[in-house]
Amino acid sequence: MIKNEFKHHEYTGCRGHHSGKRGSRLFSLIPKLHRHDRHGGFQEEGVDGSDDRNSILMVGSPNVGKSALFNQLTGTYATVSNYPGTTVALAVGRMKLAGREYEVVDTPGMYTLLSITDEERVTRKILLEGGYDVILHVIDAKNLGRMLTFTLQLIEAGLPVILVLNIMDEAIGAGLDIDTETLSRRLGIPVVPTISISGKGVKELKKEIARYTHNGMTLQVDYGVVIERAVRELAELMPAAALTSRSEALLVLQEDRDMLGVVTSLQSDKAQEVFELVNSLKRKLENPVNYYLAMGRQRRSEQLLGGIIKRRDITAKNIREKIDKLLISPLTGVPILVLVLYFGFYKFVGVFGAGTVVDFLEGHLFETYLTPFINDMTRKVIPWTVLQDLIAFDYGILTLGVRYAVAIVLPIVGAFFLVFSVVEDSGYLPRLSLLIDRIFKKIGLSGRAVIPMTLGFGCGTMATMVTRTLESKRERMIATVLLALAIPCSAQLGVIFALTAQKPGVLVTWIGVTLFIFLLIGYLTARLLPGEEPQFFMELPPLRMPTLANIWVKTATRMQWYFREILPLFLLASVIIWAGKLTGLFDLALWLLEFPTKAIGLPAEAAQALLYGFFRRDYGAAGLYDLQQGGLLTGNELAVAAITLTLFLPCIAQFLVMMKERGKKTAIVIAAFVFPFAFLVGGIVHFLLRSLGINLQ
Amino acid sequence: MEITRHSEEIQDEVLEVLWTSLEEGGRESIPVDEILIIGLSGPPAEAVENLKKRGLVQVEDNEVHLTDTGFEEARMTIRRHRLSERLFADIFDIVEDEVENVACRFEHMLIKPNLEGKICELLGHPKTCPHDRPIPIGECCHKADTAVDQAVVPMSRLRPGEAGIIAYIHSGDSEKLKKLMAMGILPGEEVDLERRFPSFVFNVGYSRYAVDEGMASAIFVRRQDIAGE
Repeated sequence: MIKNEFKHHEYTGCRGHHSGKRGSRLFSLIPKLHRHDRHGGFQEEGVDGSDDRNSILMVGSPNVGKSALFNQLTGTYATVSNYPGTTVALAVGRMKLAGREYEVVDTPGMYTLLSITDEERVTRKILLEGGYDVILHVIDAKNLGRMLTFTLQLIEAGLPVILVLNIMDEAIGAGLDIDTETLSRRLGIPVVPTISISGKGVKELKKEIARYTHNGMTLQVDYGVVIERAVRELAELMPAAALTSRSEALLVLQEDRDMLGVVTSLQSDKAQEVFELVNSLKRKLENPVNYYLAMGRQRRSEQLLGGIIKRRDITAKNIREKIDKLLISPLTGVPILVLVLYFGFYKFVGVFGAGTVVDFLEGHLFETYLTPFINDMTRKVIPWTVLQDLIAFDYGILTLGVRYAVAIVLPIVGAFFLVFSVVEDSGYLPRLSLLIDRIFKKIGLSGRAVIPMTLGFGCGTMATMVTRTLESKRERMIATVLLALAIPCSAQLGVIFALTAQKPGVLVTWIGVTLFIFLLIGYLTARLLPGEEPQFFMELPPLRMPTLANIWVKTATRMQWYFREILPLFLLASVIIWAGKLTGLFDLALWLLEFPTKAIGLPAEAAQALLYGFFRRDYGAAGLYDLQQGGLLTGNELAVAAITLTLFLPCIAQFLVMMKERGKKTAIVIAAFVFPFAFLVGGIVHFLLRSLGINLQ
Repeated sequence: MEITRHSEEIQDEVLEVLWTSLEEGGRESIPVDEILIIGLSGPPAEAVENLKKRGLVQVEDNEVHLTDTGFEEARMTIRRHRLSERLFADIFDIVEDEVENVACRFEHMLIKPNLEGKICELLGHPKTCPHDRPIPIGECCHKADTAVDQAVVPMSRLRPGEAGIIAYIHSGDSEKLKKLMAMGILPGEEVDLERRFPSFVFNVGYSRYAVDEGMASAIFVRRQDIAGE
């Protein structure tokens, strides 16, 4: 189902000013991949000069069905969801058409050529690099009127564009009738209507791609005398590149960061001239330049669309709208959220995943059959005790590493990703964003942060990567801190739910304290960090019925990612523990950790669970599970241990991602705060419970 | 800053000083030599004399205070001044420190019949100046309160179910402007507001958007009654 040729190229946050370099490295991966795979071996590119190496770039606003179309074209899988901004990395797939091989690249969503967020800059950088044969501009057909302006920008930039009117079913449902032939004639580019979810129109699109030749025609937008003059003068100063010098000039006028970077690299007198031109234009205008450019394109787009869209009146309000209303009014929305959390997460992930499935795999399969068998075999086959311990027994790779990963963590994480996929596909998350924006503002985040935060309940590592979709550095920072500190990942959640299944008092205390710390630290970080309040804006996609196939593939892909990420670390942890025990280092660390552990009223054995937690948080939680099964923890101790563990240093994978996304120094500072803080809170809870004479059950 | 100033301008300034001291400190009268006017080196003795002639102020024991007609005139002067400030701050995006100076020059042009009313309407009958002082209410504001008007208001002031045409996007924050325009929220587009709480939800074309209050107040809408006409 999931083919290997599909690769996600990670985008490692380009925030510096050396713009070109990273972009080119990123893009150079694509042809290389292609060369490798094409005829099952290596081959020189373009030997006879024939153009059989083609690449297709897909661009468009978020949530217009790019990823679904990508899947249709390539037969490979990119995460499809009903949430703006799911593609944070590039997806590369291949497609065969009329005997020719094509490379298809799906990009993160962008609204205009001028990029705002980091993810948009990924796409833009690739556009600036050039080197593709066709660009598919995918738009939501019912919003043709608004989205055509980006098409105009692309055409104006001299790029080889095919316009894809996607989600035609919804446009027809809304009573729209679009004359695509006339539109194609007026724009001078192919226009193809599609429904990417069902695959309708994909055949026609492929035909268009196969016979596409760039006619070099460019459509121009008139931006008015003042701007046009500045553009003409600027265009002469711009270096040759993938875009026309005219559209480069337009980007410079809008003071686009990357384009300004290009300008700075010009000869100093030339650069000086450019800046002077920009400034003199700015002085002449009342509003920012891009305001006039947007208006100009809007006018042109209206002109081009004159008579092309016919509307039929559709008045009947459907059930979808009613459900929508219920989701976004606080009065009904909050209870619905509680229901989703209760059934989706507590009941399904906690009780079913972490309870039923784990009991079966861990309690039945491993305890009764596999572990004794492995121990037995190891003893027989390997004569050395030291090596025996590496493979089996208490800390062996198979009996500890694989067991935790497969029997405890996998079912829980799988259950979470399943629920998350359903929730994501339905379009519920953007509604949750708007519902919760006001509360999130108090902790310095906007409603947009709902995505990384919810995802954090699945896997903090994945979530930390997704903080990229947030707008400001400040917001990304706050989200990273909160993910590291107070958001338990699904493995932890599952184990904690399982631990506290018979002890509601412990569960409530744990939820209460963690929530309190989440809000408190969020509030304090927001106060401490300089910078502006985040702004919340989001397009609300229509509610859509999730399709079974999509949910399945998405869950499978995410689990595959998780497994690739997690299993080696589990194994590594086993080896490190083994080596640590062998050299005595592990005992030393345990001994050291026992002090704070005992100080917060936990039995010394709990130190072990916390130490595991350093390698993976979920690993630590699973260790706690063992402790509980052994009957070593009272209710109070369990609460303190669960709280400390939740707040404890993030797992090593998340820490590595934190370093990558936020920088080494920041990550270390966060870690240095989290570590003692977790013990501090654990200690306070212990002290409070004891002095108030509470015995949690 | 040395500026040559018309005598009427200086008289207006004096009225403003008297109004402000009444508004802020509740002082009915001020000694002539305590009235400081930008661009004048000494007390505005000549202006006060002229105002007295026009029956707008009275002077007793060197203390100046407004007459009833003077009070009304000062109110309108302040109104023009603060409206100008709003205009420059909101529409022309002049930084706050400069607003005062520019507005000082501009307000005098608003004396032309009904220009002040039109600007007030354009701005959506604002209640305060950029420095948060109240703008005295004009005739047009009363009308606007009662009639279903065509005034331009920030979207954050629409009621749920109300519709309008986007008149302009407040350009004070160019990042905000960029984001809104990138999503296709542009002047000339029709909007209807669906709800205000917990976030602002509105439709433009066939798309729905959710924004926070800050964003919503950057979108200025020419109001239309949705059921109207």
